[in-house]
Amino acid sequence: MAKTRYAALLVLVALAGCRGSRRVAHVERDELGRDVALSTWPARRVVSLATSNTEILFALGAGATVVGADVYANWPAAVTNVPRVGTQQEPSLEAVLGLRPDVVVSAMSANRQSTVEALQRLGLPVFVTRTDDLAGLSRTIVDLGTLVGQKAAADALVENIQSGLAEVQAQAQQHPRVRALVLVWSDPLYVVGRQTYTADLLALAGGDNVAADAEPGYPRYSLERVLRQAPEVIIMGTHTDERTGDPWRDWRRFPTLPAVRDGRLITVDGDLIFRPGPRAVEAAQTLARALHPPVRILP
Amino acid sequence: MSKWSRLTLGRLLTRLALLALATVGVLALGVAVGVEKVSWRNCLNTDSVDRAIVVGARLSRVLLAAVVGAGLASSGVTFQALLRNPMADPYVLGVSAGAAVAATIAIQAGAGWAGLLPLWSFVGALAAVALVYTVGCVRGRLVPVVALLAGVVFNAFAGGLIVALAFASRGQRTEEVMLWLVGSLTSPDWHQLAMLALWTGLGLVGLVLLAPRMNALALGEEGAHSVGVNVPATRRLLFLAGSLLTGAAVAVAGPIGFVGIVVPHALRLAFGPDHRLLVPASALGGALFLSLCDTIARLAFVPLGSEPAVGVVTALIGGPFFLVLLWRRRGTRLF
Repeated sequence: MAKTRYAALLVLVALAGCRGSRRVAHVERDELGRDVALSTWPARRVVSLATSNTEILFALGAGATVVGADVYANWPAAVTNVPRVGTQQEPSLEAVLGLRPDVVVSAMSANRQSTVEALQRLGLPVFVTRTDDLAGLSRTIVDLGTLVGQKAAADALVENIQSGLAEVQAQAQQHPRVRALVLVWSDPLYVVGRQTYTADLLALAGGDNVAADAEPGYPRYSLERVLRQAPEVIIMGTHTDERTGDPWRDWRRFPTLPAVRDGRLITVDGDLIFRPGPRAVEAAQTLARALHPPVRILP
Repeated sequence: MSKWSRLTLGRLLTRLALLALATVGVLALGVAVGVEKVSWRNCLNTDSVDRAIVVGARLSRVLLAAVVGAGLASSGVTFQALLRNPMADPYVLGVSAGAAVAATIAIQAGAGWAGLLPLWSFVGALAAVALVYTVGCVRGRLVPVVALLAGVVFNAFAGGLIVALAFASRGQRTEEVMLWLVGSLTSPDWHQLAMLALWTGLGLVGLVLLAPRMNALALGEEGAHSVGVNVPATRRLLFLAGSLLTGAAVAVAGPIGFVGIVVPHALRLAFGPDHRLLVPASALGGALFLSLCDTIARLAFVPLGSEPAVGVVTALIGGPFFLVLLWRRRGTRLF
């Protein structure tokens, strides 16, 4: 009896030893408040499940560490050669596992919680980012930089973005503010609401979001409310493969809208303005140009 | 024979007139209420924002809901008569899904031009119906339960097919197709509305003319034959009309559930099973029901800060309403 007990104890100790043998090289707190432990640090193999984070990793010069990305990733050009693990909503867990990542990076706005949980159950460290405002973007850049050992590059990128945005803001302040609406889809009508990265950029570029009264995030908006709110500019973020033809056809029925009357219906690259990433300054410039057309804000 | 067998012209007309009055009332209510307060005096001015809100945003959408609702409910009656099964409706049978598959292909092939989309959906709906009917025919006779089962399975298959098509074309289009698949109503332009009304009107006229023969079908194949009805020809015509109505509605609004099943049943319980009354009444009732649900969806923006899809409202209102109706009429012959 005593012998069996002793043996059981030995097994337990051995098991504990096994667990302990998986050395923790680095612990970093993610946006869910969890301490994510990496056994290899800086991470040399990263699977990025959200396009925005992939863009950040490439901008930090860590493109070579990205061994897997979601199917939407299309910037910069070098990302073309990265193996794909599926969509942001439904990545293939097997494909992720097969790439033997040191860490999986996931964005709260793009990926599902169930994916994160499943990957964790499979024993992979998953680092979750949150970028529903500009402050979140800065945090995410520094966090990702730390994960891949590019902290200095991350600080420089943040610095760069902040000064660039400050410049856009300063230029925009020389113009009166403009009442604006940013469309995610035109039919049915989904718009950029408050507490989003794009709403932050819009405000900084001198736009007052008329949809700030609706649900946070990307609400389905009311057409008659748009007519009453009378935006001076309507901006549509196109997606990679928009239907051919005039995307503004439905809107031209409403000439009482100042934006329609004055011909200020502006189509911009949706990837640029919706993805919280390293191109934030370019996105802000694009929005500023849409809002204040006669003067070129920046070269 | 039930108490409903004595349908006189006078009764038919008074009932339809009452229902039409109620429908017009609900449509007027839909135009009167909305998210924004409007000045009715300003509406007389063609350049006013108030007029844009009332006419451009509200009236066009209320009318769209009415036409789509009329089409879905009357096609529900059609499929129920054809399969002699109260479960049959364009959504459950996969006819909506068939229309949706064709519309998805058309959109992605760049053929989704507004005027022709209903035609594509019609073809898709027709193909789905043909499949369900062919599988449902066992040794030359239509076995309604088999057809219904085939429809349910095809519906699930088509749902998967649409998602697969969206994936195959390119990633981001998936979201667009998903949005459309929920079924939603927006403010259409007048041209689009006119086209839809034309197709739907065509289907409805056909159904009204076929209504006496639909009554004969309820007697079963031999029964119908014995009263001098050409059963295969009648079925073909009904399939055409039902597919046309479903296709037109789906092309514009996506598949919206519940209308095709709740409305005909509620009216059957109220007015009896005579199709001469049931067909036009379902068209009116469908218009009433869907425009009411859509008005609620529009108004829900105020408390929710985001508009729910109309399919959510049809389910939340139609479901309990229908269950209560069934509960209270237990024991009454439904079909």
